[in-house]
Amino acid sequence: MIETIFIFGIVWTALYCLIAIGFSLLFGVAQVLNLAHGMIIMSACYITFLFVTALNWSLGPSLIVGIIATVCLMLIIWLGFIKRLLTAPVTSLLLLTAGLANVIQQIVILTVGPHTKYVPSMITGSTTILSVTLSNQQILSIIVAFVLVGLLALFLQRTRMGRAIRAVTQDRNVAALSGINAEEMYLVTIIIAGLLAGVAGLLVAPIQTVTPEIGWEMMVTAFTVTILAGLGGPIWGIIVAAAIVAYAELITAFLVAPMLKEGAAFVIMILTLMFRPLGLFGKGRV
Amino acid sequence: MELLRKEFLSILIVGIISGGLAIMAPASDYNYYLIGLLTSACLWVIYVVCWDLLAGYTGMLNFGQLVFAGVAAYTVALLELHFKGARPLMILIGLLAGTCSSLLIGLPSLRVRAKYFALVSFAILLVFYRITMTFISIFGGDYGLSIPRVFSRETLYFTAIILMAITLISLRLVVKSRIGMALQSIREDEETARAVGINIRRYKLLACLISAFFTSLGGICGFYYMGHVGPEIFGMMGSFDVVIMGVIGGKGTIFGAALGGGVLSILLEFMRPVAEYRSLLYAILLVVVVMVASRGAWGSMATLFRKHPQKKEIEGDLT
Amino acid sequence: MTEFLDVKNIYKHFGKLSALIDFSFTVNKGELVGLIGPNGAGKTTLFNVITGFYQANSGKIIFKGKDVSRAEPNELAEMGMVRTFQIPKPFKELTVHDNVAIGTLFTPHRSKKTSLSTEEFVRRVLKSVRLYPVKEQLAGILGHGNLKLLELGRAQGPYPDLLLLDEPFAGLTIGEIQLVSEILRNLAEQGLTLIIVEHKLRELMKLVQRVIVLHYGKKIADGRPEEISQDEQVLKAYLGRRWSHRHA
Repeated sequence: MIETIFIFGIVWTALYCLIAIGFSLLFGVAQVLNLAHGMIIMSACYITFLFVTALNWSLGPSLIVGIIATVCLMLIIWLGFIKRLLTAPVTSLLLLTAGLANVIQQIVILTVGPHTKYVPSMITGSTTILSVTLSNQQILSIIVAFVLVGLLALFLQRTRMGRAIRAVTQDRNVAALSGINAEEMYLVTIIIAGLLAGVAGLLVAPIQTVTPEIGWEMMVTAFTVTILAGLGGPIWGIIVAAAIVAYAELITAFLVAPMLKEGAAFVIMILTLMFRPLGLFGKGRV
Repeated sequence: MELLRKEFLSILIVGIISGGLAIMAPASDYNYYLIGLLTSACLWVIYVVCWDLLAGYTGMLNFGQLVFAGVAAYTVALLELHFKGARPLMILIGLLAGTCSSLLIGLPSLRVRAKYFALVSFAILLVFYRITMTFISIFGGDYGLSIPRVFSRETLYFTAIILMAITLISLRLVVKSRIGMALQSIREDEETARAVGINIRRYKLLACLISAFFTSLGGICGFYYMGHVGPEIFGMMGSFDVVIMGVIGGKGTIFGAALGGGVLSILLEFMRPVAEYRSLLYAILLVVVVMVASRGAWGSMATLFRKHPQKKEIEGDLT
Repeated sequence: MTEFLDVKNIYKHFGKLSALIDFSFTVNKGELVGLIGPNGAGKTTLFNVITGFYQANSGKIIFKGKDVSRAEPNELAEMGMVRTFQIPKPFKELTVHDNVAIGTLFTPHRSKKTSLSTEEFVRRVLKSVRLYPVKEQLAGILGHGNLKLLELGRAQGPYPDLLLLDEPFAGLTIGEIQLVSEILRNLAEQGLTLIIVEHKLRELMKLVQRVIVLHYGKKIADGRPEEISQDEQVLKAYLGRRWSHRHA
């Protein structure tokens, strides 16, 4: 059983990383808690599902459309809505993104139906590692996730734009003094977040049951991982935090009850907020 | 008390409305449909007004207001099903449970900014939903818990009206008191509030407990009225409706929130035939209101009729 | 004179950055003290530590004989210590009047110290900061100058004995600074002890009787304004080594 937990833990760590990074990035750069983040990921799942099953496209193009659609959705939400309320009190933004999340959820329910959908895997077949059987789809998820995270880390550390984004995360005004246009950086961050959300949706869809509700669950997961890692910390902080949450949930699922695994995440959230609000690797004030 | 004197008008209005509602029962010949509708509306008003105390006044946005009602209701349901007698005690325990459940959101949020409170409230909603759906033998899963009718509909109707009146008056008094000032200052600027002597932890917790207390009362009343409580009370939809009603009615104004609760809940009933679109419409309304009129219907009207005209910027005589 | 505020051996660091190193000083009741130092010297950190917004890593703070090293800002307000903020953070949705009045509501012990009723007290404070005419306006619409005045009014609400002011002259014109100086002088005459952090040295030196100088987290001078402006260490800190060499 330990092997099962260990191996599956890697899968979920990878997925949680993808789910959380977009959220964390936007929060770090623009101080925006995007409550619609989970729903956006969920839409990516559904868009792919639509194209593959309903319109009978083949997988490749569907994936690309899915990702592009997600990025577009993210841009619409940013440019049309969030950006206009950046100077409003915090509660307005929370209400706005919660409202948008609901709108997305309701639209999905109206168009596709509230029932569980099954999205076919991109790769069939399975592999066995350490006497644990993983579907190849899950292995693909791990690979893609870590590759993307690695690329993102390189981007943030080595490229000029990446460094500019990190500068804005630390202090927007000082960054402006160095000639960095915060607006542009926000836009870049939004696109990255959209991309990651899209990929996250595509990878999660075949592995997990897809219902409109998972939008909220994923958002809560993203938040838990984000605050556990802490803001302003290094990217690998998110990997560690994702691992902690993933394994905590798996252990709870195996030892206590499968449906209570969110409870583990909730406990982590509470403990972090009460005892270490800055997170494990975070810098700066809360 | 001086406060009671100052608020005499509000208390009177609440009394008149309650009286009016009470009369509608015998006046309509005890039409069960109407009574049901109005009972439900009263409870929604309680929920929304309590939500407003947290969100509008203290700045703690709660996306899981019904958690308190649900915890109280399930507690009473369990006690009813497993123990006999001492109903007042059961209700008391239910109240206690519901009120204390607010600590699950409140305590973690003490050290951090109000943004996080919102997310913890989401999480707690999900967790309680899961718990009721996991331990099916205890909580009845999808079917929830039911009991045979204990109180008559009329009794519960009048109870609901009284509870609503008590909640409205109590919260109005709280809001106009020292506590209300403290809560608003916490919403405005926590650091300045600390600097003038306000113990923000104490007041944040107080707001949670007051809000949860009255919400629990509503939840228990609702439970007895329906004779049933199910996991849907921990669903996203219900608590989200509370948020929408509060925002559209008027965040930060007790009566605005009450209006939102009353009107929108009745509207909800009439929109039953188009239920699928109802949720979408309400969500869109929320987005629109937040983007355009962040103070809600009541607040915007209040600004229009403000007593002292606001000049654009004031530079007084400084030299 | 009784030791009013006794700051002993404060160390405060943020990760690898040491903001305050073995910082100690004492203030007696009724003094008017200025706290100066180049940017980044640690003045605001010191303020935050004394007034309970930060916790020192080690060291003690004794106020009126009690150890308040771990006290919360609201507890300090109850004891009579209030601070202002460099960038005013008023309660925007409350009126000017309420911004001041709120301080009276949450420090009941302090209110007993004055024979005035709350209303009279608030009125007097508002008049002292020249904001009485606008007392019913929402604080959110005031301009910067008036906000600084409101900050002074707000800080008097809890009827403090010790007032710590964080750059009260910041962003003000010469005329406005003179007004603020006058208000502060009046407060001192009424018996308040004042500790003022400032950058505007000339105006500050005219106001205070004693100046403490910080540099890189350490105290490098403590004395009368005239002495301080000749002190070599201070000059070196502000102007660099080369300058002080020439004038040594």
